[in-house]
Amino acid sequence: MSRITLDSSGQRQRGVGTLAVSALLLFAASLIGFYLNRSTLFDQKTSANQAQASQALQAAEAGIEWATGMLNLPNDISSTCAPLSTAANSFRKRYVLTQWNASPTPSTDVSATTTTFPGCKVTPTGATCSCPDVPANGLAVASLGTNVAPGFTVAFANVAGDAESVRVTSWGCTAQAGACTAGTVANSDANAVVTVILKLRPTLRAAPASPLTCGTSCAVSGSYNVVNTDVPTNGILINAGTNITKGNGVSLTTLPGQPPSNALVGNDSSLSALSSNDPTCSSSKMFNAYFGSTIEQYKAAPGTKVLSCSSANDCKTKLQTAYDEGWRSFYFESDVQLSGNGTLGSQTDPVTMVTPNGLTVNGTWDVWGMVFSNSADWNDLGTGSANIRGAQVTCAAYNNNGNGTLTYDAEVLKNARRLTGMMVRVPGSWRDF
Amino acid sequence: MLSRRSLPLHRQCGLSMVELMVGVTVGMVVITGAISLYGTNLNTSRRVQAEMRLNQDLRAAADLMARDLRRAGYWGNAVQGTVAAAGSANTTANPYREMSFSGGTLAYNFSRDATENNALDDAERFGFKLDSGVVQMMTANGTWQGITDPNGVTVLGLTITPTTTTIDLGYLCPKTCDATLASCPSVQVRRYDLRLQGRSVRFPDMVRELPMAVRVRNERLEGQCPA
Repeated sequence: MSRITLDSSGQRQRGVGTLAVSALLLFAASLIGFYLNRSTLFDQKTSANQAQASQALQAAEAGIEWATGMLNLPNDISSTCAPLSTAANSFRKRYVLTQWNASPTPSTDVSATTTTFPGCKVTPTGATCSCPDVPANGLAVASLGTNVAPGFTVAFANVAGDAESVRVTSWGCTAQAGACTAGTVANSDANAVVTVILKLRPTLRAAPASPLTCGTSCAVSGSYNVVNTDVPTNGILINAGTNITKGNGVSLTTLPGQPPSNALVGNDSSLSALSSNDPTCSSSKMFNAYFGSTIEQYKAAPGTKVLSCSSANDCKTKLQTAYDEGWRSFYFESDVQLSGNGTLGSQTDPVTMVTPNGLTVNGTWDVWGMVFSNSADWNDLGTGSANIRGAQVTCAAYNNNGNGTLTYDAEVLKNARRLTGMMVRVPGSWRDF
Repeated sequence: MLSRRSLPLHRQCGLSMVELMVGVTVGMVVITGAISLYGTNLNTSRRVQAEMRLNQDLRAAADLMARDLRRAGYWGNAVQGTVAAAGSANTTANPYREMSFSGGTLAYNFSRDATENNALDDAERFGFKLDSGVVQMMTANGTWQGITDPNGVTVLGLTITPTTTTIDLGYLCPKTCDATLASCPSVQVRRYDLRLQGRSVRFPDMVRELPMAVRVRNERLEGQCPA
C-alpha cells in the first residue's frame, strides 16, 4: 500500500535521518540536564535521610517519655492504655510491679515483665496505643493495626543490684505498617533505640515507727484503741515530741508481756527538734522527715489527687470516686470530713492521705495506709468507729476523743512506700548506642 | 533499489550562496545561544554542587556533634549513683559527669566499657574544637581527628554557648541543706547552643551557617547532704 502511495505521488518521505539525529541530540541534552540536576536529587536524599533519622530518634524518645508518664499514671488502664474508672490494674502494676499483690510481700519492689511490649503509633490526629496483658507464656506485642505511621514500643527489665529500678528500652521507627519492635525495626527507613533506667522515688521516705506520731503533744481520750504488735518497732504505740496525755477509756495494745506504759514514748528529742524548728508547720519539717519532699511537691506530684470538698458527704463521694479510678495518694485542700461507711485501700494496695488541716470521721471507715496532718492544731478524729491500719502522723499537737482504732501495720507502710512512689529517671542512664 | 535512490539525487541542485549564508548565520546564533546556556548551566551546576557539599559537610559535622554530645555523662552503673556507697551515707559520683568548655575546646565523657569499670579511661574522653578551618573531634584522650574536609569547606567559626540550669535538691536531704552552701546536692541540666559557620573553598563568597541546640540527656548530680 505505502509503496503504491509513494509511487503515485512521485515524492518520497524525507527526514528520517534528521529525526534520528534530533532524537539523539535531545537525549544527550536531557542526559546533560539530568546530570546537572543530580545534585538536587542528592540533596533530597540527604535531607530525607536526616529527617527520617531525627524522626526515629524522636519516636524512641517519645516512647521513653510515654512509658515514664504511664508508669506515673495512677489510673487503672484499658487494653488501649486509656484510663478506666472501673477496677483493672495500672500500667505500673501490669508491667513493672508485677508482684505487687503477691503473698508474702516480695522482697524486691520491681519485678518487670520481659515478655510484653506496649507501644503506640503516632498519627497527625493523635496516638493509638496498646497495652497488652502479660501473657502466661510467649510474647505479647502491642497490637496497633496496619496504619503506616511512625511509632514505638517499649520493653522493661530488672536492673541487677537494685530492687527499685527498672530499665526501659524504647524502639522508635519511621512510618511502617507493623508495630515497631526489636524484630521489625528493619522494616522502616530509619530506627533508633533509647534506653534509660527509672527508679522508684518512694512517697514515704521513712515509715513512722509507731502508729501515732505527734510533733508536739499527743492527747488521746474517749474509748480510742491504739494497737502495735509489730516486733521490729518494739511495739511502740505513741511517739510524741513533748508530753503524752491518755484518758482512762483508752485501750492500748502492745507486744505481749510489755506494759503499755513502756510503749508510750514522749519528749522524743528528734521529734521535738523537728517541730520546734517549725512551730507553725509552714516549712514542712515533719512532712519532709517522713515523705522526703515538701507538701507542695507532694501536692503537685502526678500521682497525687488533690481534693477540695465542702461537706462530709461531698468528701466521701469525691474520695470514693477518685479511689475507684485508681488514685492512691490524696491531698485535701481543706478540712477533711468523712461521713457514712467506706473502705480506702487494702493491705496490698494502701493509700496516703495528706491534709493541711484536720481530719474528722463520722462513721465507720476503714483506712489502710498513712495519714498525715500538717495542722499545727489537729483536734479531732471524729466520733465514728474509724479504723486506721498503717500509721498516723501529725505535724504538731494531736487531740482525740473518738472511739476508733489505730493499728500499726508494717506491711501497709511498706506497700504504701513502693506503690505510691514516682518513677523518675536516673541521671547518667540515657543511652542510644 | 539503486535506480530508486538515484532519482532524488538528480533533483538536488545544491545550495545558493545566500541560502548557505543564512543557514550558517542562523546556525551560529543558535549554537552561540546553546553554548552560553550550557555554560551558564554548568556554572550554576558547579555552584549548586559546591553549595550542596558545603551544606552536607556542615550538616554531617553538626549531626555528629549533636548525636555524640547528647550522650555525655552516660554511665553503665548509673544506679550506683542512687544508692549509698558501702560504708558511707553518700552515693558514688558519676565518673563521667564532667563537661567543660574552655579555650574553644568542648570536652565531655561517656562510658564505652563493655563491662563498666567505673573509671574514666582515655578512650572515653571526647571533645570538639575548631583548628585552622577544620572541626576536630577528640576520639580518645589527646587524639584529634578532622570531621570536615579542608579541601571542600573552610569552617570559619564554631560558636559554643553552654547554658547550665542548676536545680537545688538541698530540701530533699534528711537534714535540709542550707542553699547558701556550695556543697548542697543539685542537679545540673546542661544545654549547648552550637553555631557552625562554613565557607566553600571553591566559591569563597558562599558562606553558610548552621545553628543547633543540644540538651545533654544525662544530667549532672553534684554535692552531698550535710551529715
